[in-house]
Amino acid sequence: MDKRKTRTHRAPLVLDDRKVRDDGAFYLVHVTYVGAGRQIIDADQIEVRYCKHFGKSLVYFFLERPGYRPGESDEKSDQINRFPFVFITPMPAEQSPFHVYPFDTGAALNKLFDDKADPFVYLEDYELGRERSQIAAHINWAFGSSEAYFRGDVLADTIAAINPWDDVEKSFFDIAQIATSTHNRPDKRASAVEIAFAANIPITHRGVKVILPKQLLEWGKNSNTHLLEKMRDKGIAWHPYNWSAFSRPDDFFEEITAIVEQMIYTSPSDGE
Amino acid sequence: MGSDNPAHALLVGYEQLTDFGFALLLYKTRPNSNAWYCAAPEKPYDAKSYVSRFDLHHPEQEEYFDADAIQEIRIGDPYPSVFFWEGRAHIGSPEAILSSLRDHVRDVEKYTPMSLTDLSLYARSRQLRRHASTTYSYLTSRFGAQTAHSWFGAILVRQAAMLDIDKLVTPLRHALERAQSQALTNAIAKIRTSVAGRSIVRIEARGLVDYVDLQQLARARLPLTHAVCRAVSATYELAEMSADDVDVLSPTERRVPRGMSLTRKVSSGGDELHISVSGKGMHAGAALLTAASERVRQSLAGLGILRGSASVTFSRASVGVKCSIAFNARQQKATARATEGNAYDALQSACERLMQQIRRTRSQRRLDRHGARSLKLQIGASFERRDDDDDRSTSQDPSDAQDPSDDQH
Repeated sequence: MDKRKTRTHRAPLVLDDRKVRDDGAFYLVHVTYVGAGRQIIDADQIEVRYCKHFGKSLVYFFLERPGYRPGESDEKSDQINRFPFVFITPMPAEQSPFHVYPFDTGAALNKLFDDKADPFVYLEDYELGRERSQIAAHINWAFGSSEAYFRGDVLADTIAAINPWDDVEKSFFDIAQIATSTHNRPDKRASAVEIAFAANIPITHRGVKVILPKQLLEWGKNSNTHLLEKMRDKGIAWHPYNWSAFSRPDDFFEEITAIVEQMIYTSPSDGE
Repeated sequence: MGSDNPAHALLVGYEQLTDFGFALLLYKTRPNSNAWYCAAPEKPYDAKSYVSRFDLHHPEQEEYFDADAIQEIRIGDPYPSVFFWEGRAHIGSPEAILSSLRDHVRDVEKYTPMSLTDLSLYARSRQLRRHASTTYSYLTSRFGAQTAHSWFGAILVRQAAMLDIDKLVTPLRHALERAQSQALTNAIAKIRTSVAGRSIVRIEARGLVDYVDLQQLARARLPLTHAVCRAVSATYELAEMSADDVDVLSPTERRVPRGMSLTRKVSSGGDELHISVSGKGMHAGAALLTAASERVRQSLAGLGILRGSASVTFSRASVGVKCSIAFNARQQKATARATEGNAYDALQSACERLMQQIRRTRSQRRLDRHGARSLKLQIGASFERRDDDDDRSTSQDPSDAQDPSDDQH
């Protein structure tokens, strides 16, 4: 998938405001690795990094779903796959997103969805509206409910109702099929709503939760201020996952996905 | 650059998460090559497994071992782990690491009880219950009962249940093709546990429904799970999850099963004489496996036995090779061992002794030949290459296998 040479503005992909979720309490999920996670906690914020695709410093989140990079071999994705560390933060009220897309733009621009995507649709054509209500409308239109969105299961009725000439909508659903639970090797990024901000996102005393390797719950003989003590002082809750040196990235992310689901949709978490 | 799928690699370094406990071991195909790999075990839930492949990896902060510690690891070798304590790397199987840590175990228990619990779980140590109990107290005192309980319910019991259930279904694997066996391993890796109530942990094993009768599984005793549950005075139950409801399977009577049976979805084939052959602490080549299987089949057929299950295990003895055969049928059990200079002679002697034993039993009590049904109890085929350090721990007699639930502390 390519970007347009010049930026043009188009109406958001979908707007069906009949069924907007009214609580507005969206959670954003930022998946990184342990080394970067420590730095974020020390810096009190998730900092923007230069994004070559958009030519701007951005910080990326997925909406209520942990994104994971199967089968790519760059240094960062390897670290994320082997030592995942996940932040879950309520959507910041005071900042408006820089952009919202219905899938991972990084994966799209790296041509991971090109088998499914319509080659005549440019990346910008998929862009969603940046208001909460517009994001909620997209979830309702494409998935029907937050739970179905979490599983990646798209709404068959919506697909059936698409007009043959609605090439962007058709292409979106073709890509989103890669993330459905019935797909042979689902890549959840194919329908995870990506929300990027152009400013740092603070994490202290903001209801942020962290999913971290269980080994970090131990001190060893180290006398430095422990990571979890810092997190406790900053009002960050945590939940451990079962890190082991021999586990596969898929196993980590299945466990993390279950924890995210539990954290967002059900009970309060540890460390609170 | 190395190949994308090397068959062997040099263990040259590691990447740490913390400066104590387990770390990720790193490999290279040649000492000076650029590409790094990490080894994947055959069973992703068991450190006491075998290397199944090497995956490319990009470490961020790699550390090198000293040149004299570099060793070559091949696919099929016992999976090596590393445990750091006070700057020193302890490398090998979980048993070997536990044994090399023995002088520091009190310190390790005090400062990193969770990593030690993992180690004793994978080593199937008698100390498992004690270490689980220490970790529970450690987490409670630092983070509160909620963290301790969720570690116990969602992490520790799950690890233990995966190992227990894997062991229970191991005899079924010989009836499965390789891909099916791999799918069974993946189904075990998807087992989830959750805290179902005050001191009850629920084991959700929905994915196993294609392979085993879950009711039967619910009645089976899970020794490691039992041990960790006893550490915190909890109990466990097995549940089959469906979309909307949870069926808790009857856990009323727990006992060691006389054999798990496959559910109808997987064919076990028409042959009712099951023979599994494995090398324990040594590599058993394909020719030896075929020869052993055929030799035992012929011996049993010679006695008119067409049903039952037999397990043949080869291991290194102090001089030569030991061959152990265990035969099971409904009304008869027989075991025979022999040690000879080479594996084929040991097999021959063990077969003769097995036949003698069966004949002797028959003269006392006539075996109901046609009624003898298959009992698939014995260890499935597993291949283990010998490693000098590991051998002492891996080639022990099965009688040395410890039942951690007996632990008294």
